[in-house]
Amino acid sequence: MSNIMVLDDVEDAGAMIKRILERKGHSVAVFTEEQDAIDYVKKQKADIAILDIKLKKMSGVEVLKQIRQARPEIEVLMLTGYPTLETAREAMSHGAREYLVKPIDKNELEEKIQVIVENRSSA
Amino acid sequence: MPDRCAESAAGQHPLTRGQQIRCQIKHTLENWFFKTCFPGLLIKKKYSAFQRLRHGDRSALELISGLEEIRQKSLVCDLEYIRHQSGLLDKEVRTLVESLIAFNPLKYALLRNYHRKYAFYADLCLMEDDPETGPPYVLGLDPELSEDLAGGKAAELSFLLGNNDFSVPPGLVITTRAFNLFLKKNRLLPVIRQQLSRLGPDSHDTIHNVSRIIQNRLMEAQTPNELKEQVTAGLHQKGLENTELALRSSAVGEDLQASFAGQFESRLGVSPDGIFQAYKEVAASKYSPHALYYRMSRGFTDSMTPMAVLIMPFIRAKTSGILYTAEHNSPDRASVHMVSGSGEKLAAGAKYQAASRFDKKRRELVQDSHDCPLEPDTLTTVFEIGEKLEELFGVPQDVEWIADGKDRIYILQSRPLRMSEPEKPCRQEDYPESSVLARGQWVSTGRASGKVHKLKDIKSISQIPQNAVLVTDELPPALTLALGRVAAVVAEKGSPACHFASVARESKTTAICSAPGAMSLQDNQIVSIDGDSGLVLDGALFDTRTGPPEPDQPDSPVMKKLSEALRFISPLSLQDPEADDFSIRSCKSLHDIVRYVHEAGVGEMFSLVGRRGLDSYMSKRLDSGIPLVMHVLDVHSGLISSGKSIKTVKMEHVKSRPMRQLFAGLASPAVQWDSSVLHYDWDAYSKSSASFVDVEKSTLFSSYAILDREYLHALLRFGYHFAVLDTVACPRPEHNYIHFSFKGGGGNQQQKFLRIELINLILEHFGFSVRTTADFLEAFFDRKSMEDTGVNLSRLGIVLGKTVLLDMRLETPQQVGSLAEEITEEVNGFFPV
Repeated sequence: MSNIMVLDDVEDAGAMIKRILERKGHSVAVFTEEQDAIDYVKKQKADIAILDIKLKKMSGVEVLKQIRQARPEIEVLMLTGYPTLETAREAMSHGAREYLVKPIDKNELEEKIQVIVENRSSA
Repeated sequence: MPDRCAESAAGQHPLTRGQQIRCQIKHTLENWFFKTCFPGLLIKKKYSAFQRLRHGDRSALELISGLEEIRQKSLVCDLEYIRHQSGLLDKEVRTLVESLIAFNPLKYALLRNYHRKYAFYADLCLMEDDPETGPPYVLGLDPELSEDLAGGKAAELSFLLGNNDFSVPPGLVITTRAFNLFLKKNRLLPVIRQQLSRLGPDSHDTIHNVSRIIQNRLMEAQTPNELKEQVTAGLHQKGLENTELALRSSAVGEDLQASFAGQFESRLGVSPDGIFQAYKEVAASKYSPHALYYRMSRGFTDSMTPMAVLIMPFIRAKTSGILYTAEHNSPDRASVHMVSGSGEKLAAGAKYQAASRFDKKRRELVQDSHDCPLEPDTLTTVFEIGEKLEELFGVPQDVEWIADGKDRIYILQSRPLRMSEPEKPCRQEDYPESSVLARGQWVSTGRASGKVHKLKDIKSISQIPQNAVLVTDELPPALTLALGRVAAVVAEKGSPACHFASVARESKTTAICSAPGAMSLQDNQIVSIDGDSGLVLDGALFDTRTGPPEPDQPDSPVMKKLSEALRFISPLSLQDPEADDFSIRSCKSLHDIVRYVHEAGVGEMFSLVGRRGLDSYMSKRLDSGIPLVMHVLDVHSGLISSGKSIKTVKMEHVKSRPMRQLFAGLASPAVQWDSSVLHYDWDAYSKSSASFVDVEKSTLFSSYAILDREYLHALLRFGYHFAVLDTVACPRPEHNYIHFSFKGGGGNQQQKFLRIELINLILEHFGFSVRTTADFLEAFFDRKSMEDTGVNLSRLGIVLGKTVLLDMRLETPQQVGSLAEEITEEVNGFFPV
């Protein structure tokens, strides 16, 4: 099972993701502050990051760049309620693996995390 | 109890709690005001929203079916067309969602988020990366060149350049990045994408127009300065600045993943001054009608096949030829077709002067033409080069070469030779001599029968009937456009080594060439072609194809993208409106959203008149005498006065002309509403309705009709079948129409298609124009007299009643024709033509 970091400026959204993924046996840490999340990843504590695109101080893509720079092997799933192809293209060009659009569907979230976990183990 | 706050934060709810309360109060007050003061206005307002739903629903289902059909049949179209259709679907679904939200903003606002989500996923699947426009723009031929940068032909020639066994002219390549830069600097990409979005299935007429517009724009465009500078420097470096040049196409994918044989143009004998004009001409040939069609038929996208251009010194050819390192039916033999001078006409399927063969085991020439332009030693050298190429690449090769004035052989191109296995060993002697109409040479294997269509003009390709045997003088690459609609191709001239031959073999189309007398065949004469023995035979000896050829690219890049996108467009998981999970949160695709909106729209339309004191607008239960549970809503003079005050009306209370005419068919003795129908459709209804007293719930399960004296909108449910009928029957013919649509139903996919085909055949017989896409059918009967419209409504009623359960019984296409005749005859008995 994986260590997953969730960064969403709304605490409740992170809490909901945490509940879903912990039921699947993953270890999940939720953050609402960008810098806290980046520091957490830099300390080698996460295999997978789930990043909301809209955050308080930075954009999710900016956080993506920073954590991929510090930990190129980390897998990232972007999360957004207002998706655009431009943002998706940018996020993927910076190494985001998956894109999840709100409203969050429990099965869809589990499925996407499962795909990432399987890719990691076969890599 | 779910955590509403967390759900809202995660996008499960669209509004904050405060917004929800404010919205609820506003909606309640507005509804109360209208219901109390202006009930008629409320009806009209909601009816107008309902009409928008109805139109949007039909368009959305048609778009979904269209995309499904492209995938199921691997229809030839451009990715931009698919993206365009997906965009239209997104727009239609958005309109549907907003129309439903107009009924009740609080209740349905969440649907916006689900629509946004699945529309985005579909978009994401169809998205392509932006083309790379950074350097390098010009490269020398080098064994390390990649296909991504240099295109297929240049990459392969570069590879050969590193091998001393082969002579390849030196040269430069203007890279694919340069092509992308050229498009970007001239802002051509949006124009190209917009034009390509017009290339859907069956766009044979449009493709010429699209090609002309794009090619004109390319020819008017300016070559970027940085590209000009690098080309000039590169020519100087290679010592070619004062040399006559040859510019050849080298697109990505060309020669490697697909042959693209003859699809692009070359420019020979170009002076250094004319190089950039020639560059644009070669680049623009990527968008010729046949090149566009070929690319689409192989399932590549435009941006997957950027054009690189090779620049080489122009070598004046004494002899040109095409060498196959293996022969059809005889892998131990190689063959070569040759002409004196330039080989353009040979490759273009117009002529060849001589052919020779080489036995690879005995290492000797086995047949030498009398007018062979090469000495035997040189000819042997050509075959030996072919052997080395075959050994190097590991598969038989199709090699274009030239010999200069000193008989030095240069390789211009070497690509895998594509040949399919013959159907079975065969000889010309297998057929009686009397049946042979013409003898030719194999071009592409297979056997087919069909009616002759002689091609008079290359521009009239779109007029070739489906499954014709195309008879032509030569085999130019432009014939590529005819592939997919012809059963076979026969040419009086041409050679088996021309470019079109490669393309015909790739598309698995039977073809023969060099068949003297072929042009004397008569139009519509039925003939059979045996590609393997090169014969044109009298009569229909083989199975005639009944549709387009089997798709040979079901897993092409475009089809893979479409399949991915359809995961968010097509699946219908919301089936039963009575089920607990028939909800916004259970929507998993755009199709689910369309389905949800339709059901919820019907529910809203009926619920608004089923409560509190709106008796004059209340929906009624119709006791029609047939086992169809139906509610009717009279919006204007659809019922007689005495029917307006009672809860259950009978047909004698119905004044709506089209409704009466429909039921004249549905309730006619031609339709046997037997107990099995009752059991299948209505037992379930009775059980479910027993537990509901709520009008809204029960109408959700039943059929409904909105009535006017001259208008009817009906949703008819027969178990899992849904038919929508929208019609006007009035004294003015120009206002009259019947629009009927049907989708879905029980049974497997094959049974659904058969049922659609059955209804199609019957309705066409009665003058409807019918369109079908996958399992969606639409029928139109417009601008006819009130009497004719009425009679066809009655006929439609019979057809509907009789075909309700047929998909469970229809097993084979043969059943469809005979059943259609049977039903048509019976309908005629009641409502004669």
